Amino acid sequence: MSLFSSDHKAVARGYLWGGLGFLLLGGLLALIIRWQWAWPGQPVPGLAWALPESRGALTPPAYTAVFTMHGLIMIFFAVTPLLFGALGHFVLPLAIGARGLAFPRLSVLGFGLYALGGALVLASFVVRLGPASAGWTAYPPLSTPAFTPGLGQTLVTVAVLCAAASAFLYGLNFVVTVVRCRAPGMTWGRLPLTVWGLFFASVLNVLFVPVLAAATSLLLMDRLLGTQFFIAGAAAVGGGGDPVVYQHLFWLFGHPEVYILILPAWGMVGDFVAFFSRKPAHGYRLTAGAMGTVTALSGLVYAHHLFTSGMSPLLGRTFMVLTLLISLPAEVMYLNWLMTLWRGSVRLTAPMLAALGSMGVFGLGGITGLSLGAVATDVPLHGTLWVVGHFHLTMGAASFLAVFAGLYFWFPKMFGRAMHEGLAKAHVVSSAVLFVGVFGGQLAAGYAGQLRRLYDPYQYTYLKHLLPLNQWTSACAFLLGAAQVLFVVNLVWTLRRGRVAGPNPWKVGTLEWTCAPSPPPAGNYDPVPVVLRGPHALSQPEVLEVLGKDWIGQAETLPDAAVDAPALDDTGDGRSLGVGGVATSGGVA
Amino acid sequence: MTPRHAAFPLPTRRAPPHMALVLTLLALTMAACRSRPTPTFEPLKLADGRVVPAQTLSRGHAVYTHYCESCHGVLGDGQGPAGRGMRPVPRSFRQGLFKFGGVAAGELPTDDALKRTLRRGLHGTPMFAWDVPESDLDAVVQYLKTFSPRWKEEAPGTPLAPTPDPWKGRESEAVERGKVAYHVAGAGNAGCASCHVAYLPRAEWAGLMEKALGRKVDLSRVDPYTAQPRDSQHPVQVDAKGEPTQTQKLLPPDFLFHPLRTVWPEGEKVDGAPYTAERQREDLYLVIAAGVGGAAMPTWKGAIPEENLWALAYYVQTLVRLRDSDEARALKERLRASTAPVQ
Repeated sequence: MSLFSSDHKAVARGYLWGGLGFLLLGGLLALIIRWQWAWPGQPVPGLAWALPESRGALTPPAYTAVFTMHGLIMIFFAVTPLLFGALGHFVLPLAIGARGLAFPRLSVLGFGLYALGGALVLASFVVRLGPASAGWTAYPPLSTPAFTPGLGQTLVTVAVLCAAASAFLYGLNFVVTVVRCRAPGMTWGRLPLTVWGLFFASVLNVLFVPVLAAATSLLLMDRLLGTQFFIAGAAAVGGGGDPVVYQHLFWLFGHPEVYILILPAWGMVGDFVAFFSRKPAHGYRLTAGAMGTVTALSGLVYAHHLFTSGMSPLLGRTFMVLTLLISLPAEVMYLNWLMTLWRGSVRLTAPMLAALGSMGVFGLGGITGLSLGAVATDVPLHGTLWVVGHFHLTMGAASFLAVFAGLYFWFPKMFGRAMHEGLAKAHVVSSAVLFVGVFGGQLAAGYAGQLRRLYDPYQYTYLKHLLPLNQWTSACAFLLGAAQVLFVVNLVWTLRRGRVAGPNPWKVGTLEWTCAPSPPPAGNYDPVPVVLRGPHALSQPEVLEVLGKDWIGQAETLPDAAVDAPALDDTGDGRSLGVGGVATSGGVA
Repeated sequence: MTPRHAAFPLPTRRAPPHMALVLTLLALTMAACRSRPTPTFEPLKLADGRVVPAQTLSRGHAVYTHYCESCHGVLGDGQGPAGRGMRPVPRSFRQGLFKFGGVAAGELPTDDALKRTLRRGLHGTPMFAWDVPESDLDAVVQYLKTFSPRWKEEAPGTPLAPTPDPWKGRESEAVERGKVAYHVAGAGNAGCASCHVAYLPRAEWAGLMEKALGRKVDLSRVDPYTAQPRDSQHPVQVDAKGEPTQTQKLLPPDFLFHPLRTVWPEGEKVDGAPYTAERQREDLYLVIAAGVGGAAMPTWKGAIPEENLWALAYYVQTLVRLRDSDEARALKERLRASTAPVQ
């Protein structure tokens, strides 16, 4: 399979390597930020080649560039591509029994755009005046030429536009694929929760990524063509525009983006707690419905990012109520996960540990977010590290752990080799614990009033005493970085000489595990399976009785019940007729 | 819901319609590459014989863009978008005029003085200590000389280094002498109180004058406790060419309440070292000796005896120590109440 193959599995692999590469880059940038907060102005070990003037110490412009690029890279080029580009592209068609995506060539174009964006991001590091440095949100006037005249800011803005175009394309592709290309019998009620998560998130991509594209395009026009959509005040000529409009546009995309990053994670967690508790997912319909409700509400809460922007207090109250409402479906879903685990036969495999870790950090992040959704508590916490800790727990740590849950889970299917369980478990458990250390430290510093993005917080007398806390937080961050070596070692080792995995190492019933070898061939299924049941048919008494195992494939017929289902093979004419016969007789009776 | 059949990746005939999108993005990328051209520089010949290589200026331009431009402006005229409305106004480098040059007021400052301001910032203004790395410090200092032709015509002044402190160990004596030098004009005294406010009640002040000058002075019709804004050459607005169209009036600082630009409170960390009483006195001495470029404060070095310069530093330090304290407010009240002048 070449780079330009339009097979969804090949595209997924492209996104996987790209996403992992950018995850590494974004992570290293994060460690540099942590270094600055622990030892401000001290030379960063090994960075002297990049910053020769200061012998490796972060200067204020270098620092602003580093935290800006960390955020941009992680969101647009690492986590989203890993969730959708890698796991989404790979899993979605397989899980619904499709032979590929609805628009295979569109997915290749999307990957091409992502690659172009990635190249522009990398290029921005070597241009004069450095990469983007207006914060990941790129608020004007900081992102206008008056404050960031460098070429880097422009390149990165174009790169974000590329990533947005790519996200829109795969979003559209996924939506159409799920609606039109499900296998026979794969009803909406039989979709794995992962597919539900990806589907809802894709709907959000289609609806809201164009808003980002619009805001970014207007910003680019301000930068390049002399328009003044967002330029006001001293930098404007004549009347000028309004920078706050950009904030509204940005968060109209930005808040749904948070759900874009977490919905696939929720879906995977929902599936994995069922798979590894060997139980059907508790309240499957309610969980899927809760995800749908969150999706429906997600565009109506964005202005809680703007409580302090001078917005009308009436709007503030409205958005506060909507924001607090959205936590209700999330709680329903969370309780369903807990109910699934309750009295389950829990198997603590690596994907399960990662999913549980994701649940844990998401819970913490969700609870700390309530104080930001309410106006009164948001006003003092706005712009502090409390916000940073909160959103890193939800869409950073929770999404990261879900990515690795998915990766450890589907890796055997992707590459035909199973990753080393011990290393994988050590990786996800240490990561989860250290995530809590790092982002818990940030929450504490934020609660003490430390503002985010400060180059040297200790210039402020009231923050001086936070130095030891920040040093401990940074120590956790460096350990977290070191823990990722476990994954890299595991990855390299597995790809070279990992244990060859069978078609269904996890003993679960979804289509990709029960109807296709590992890795699946081009075209996935031949013939396309006919789906008979939902994705979590685990520990069913009749299956145990007849087959002697606690799982059954979504398309697998139970010998006794074979007459109730249409058969796959050509020899089954009689049985097919039998179906009609049974139905008819039932009707008559 | 009816089950549907799986999609097959079907080959299509036409050229992909999304080519237009790719082309648009490419066009945008190209446009990006010409957003703002990188300026090219000629080596800069300074009047003191040094030649700044073009490479240094180019680096200095980058450093200026990162650290300085948003306030001091692309043209160096102090009219950057973030500097509008700032008081004191961001320096216009086009005048070649600097407040704290460490040389006689009005002369061009030395590189060391410029770097010192960059390293330490200016207390009480948005000009912070910016942590510019040492080598970049030199580049940006050379670069800002491109804004004014003065640098090509005039050599920097001789730095006025502090002389040895003649009052060491005799602090109270120095303060007494400084009080006289501050409040009395003439006879080797500076008469600072005629611009800055006075810090003595009228009666005491008149007594001091009589003692120093040998004659009675009528203070009944002056208000020595309210400072008046003085003219300066610092532009608030400039025309298209960067020439000042309106200058700012400056209030001579009231030491009890205003932060001094080059003087920090004792005990703070300035330029990486604790700020001691001695360093504070030295900084006071430097400003008193050199004056403030472009403002009404003249150069006092040579105009009054060296020991009076130091005595003034000692005296002003006693006022600076009171800054923003209840004691300072009480003193101010006392002064304002001293309306009964000597007849």
